Amino acid sequence: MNCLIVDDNKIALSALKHLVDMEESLTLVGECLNATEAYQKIANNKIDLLLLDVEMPGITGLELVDGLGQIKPLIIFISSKKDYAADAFDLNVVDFILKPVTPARFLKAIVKAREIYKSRNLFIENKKDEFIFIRDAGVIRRLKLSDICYLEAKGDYVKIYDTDKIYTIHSSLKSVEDKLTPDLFSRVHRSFIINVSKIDTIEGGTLIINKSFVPVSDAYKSALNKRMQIL
Amino acid sequence: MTTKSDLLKQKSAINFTHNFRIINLDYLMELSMGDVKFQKELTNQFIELSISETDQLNLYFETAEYHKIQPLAHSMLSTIYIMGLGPKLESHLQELKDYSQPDQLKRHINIISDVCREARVEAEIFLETL
Repeated sequence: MNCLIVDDNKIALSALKHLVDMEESLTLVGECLNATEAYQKIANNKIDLLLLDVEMPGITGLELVDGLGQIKPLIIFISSKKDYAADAFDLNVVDFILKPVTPARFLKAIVKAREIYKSRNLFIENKKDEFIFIRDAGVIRRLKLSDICYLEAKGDYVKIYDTDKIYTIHSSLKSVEDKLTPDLFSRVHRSFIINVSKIDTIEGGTLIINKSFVPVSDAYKSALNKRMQIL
Repeated sequence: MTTKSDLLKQKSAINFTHNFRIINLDYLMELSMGDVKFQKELTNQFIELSISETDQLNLYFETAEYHKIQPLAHSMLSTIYIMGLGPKLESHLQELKDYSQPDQLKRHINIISDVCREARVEAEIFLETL
């Protein structure tokens, strides 16, 4: 993972650089003493992981992350003040480490980041194919689209309900939706996409698919009805 | 302003010992994982940075630029952790970050300056052992 360190204290920067150098899975792309410099680096380089101090002069680490939008890499916040933890986790960051950072605590955060990084690069897809690939427990697995019953958003993850197994991947439901064939799949709820061919019954606002209940929200009801071409 | 030669003069008056009174090297040892070059680099950085930061603290107080003390106190936490000074200085730096009355600041700045000065003397001694 390409990594960028941002901290306004030179000793903290050196300490983090040392820890990054010791970790084989990390490649240090740069070090920044403030958020403005970091923003430029992130915009112009492929940064996978940001090790970011919270309290810095000018733009804080929290403000930087909030403003990153689409280019947001994985973030590990590092601060001497635990009061920032709640705000940090609200920004869907990988971890929040209190200073002074020990090698053991650093490694724990990196392992977590590595797992998320792997699952983020989950889909090696082709919309013309009748299957998708997902990364599952260290292997890349092929899933037949026709075997998928439905998908459910769970925070930063998506659960894929196959006919007989459930897979969890780190992704947004929207980015998964973009990779599914629209002739087979339909959004029925903010948190659910279903395989239309797998619907067993519909009753009111609920679908039954493979013995599971899936809610249909009002916003998607008419689109689903059109899609099903009910006789 | 405290200079490096001042520190070296002070150092000569202290008996060499690994049992430092002010600094605690446990964190530096854990972090360095035996990398002596890194230990030297960080110890030198502590000496240089703690001089400039404590000088700045005193300057900001004397010039009544109190708003500059809070961010500096925050940054100093990272500086002092490397020499294991957290237990001795964390509460004083926190007081500077949360201060309400300027007249209360001086006492904490004095303590921080004194502890850092003594820590630098010990850090110099530590460097000679490497």
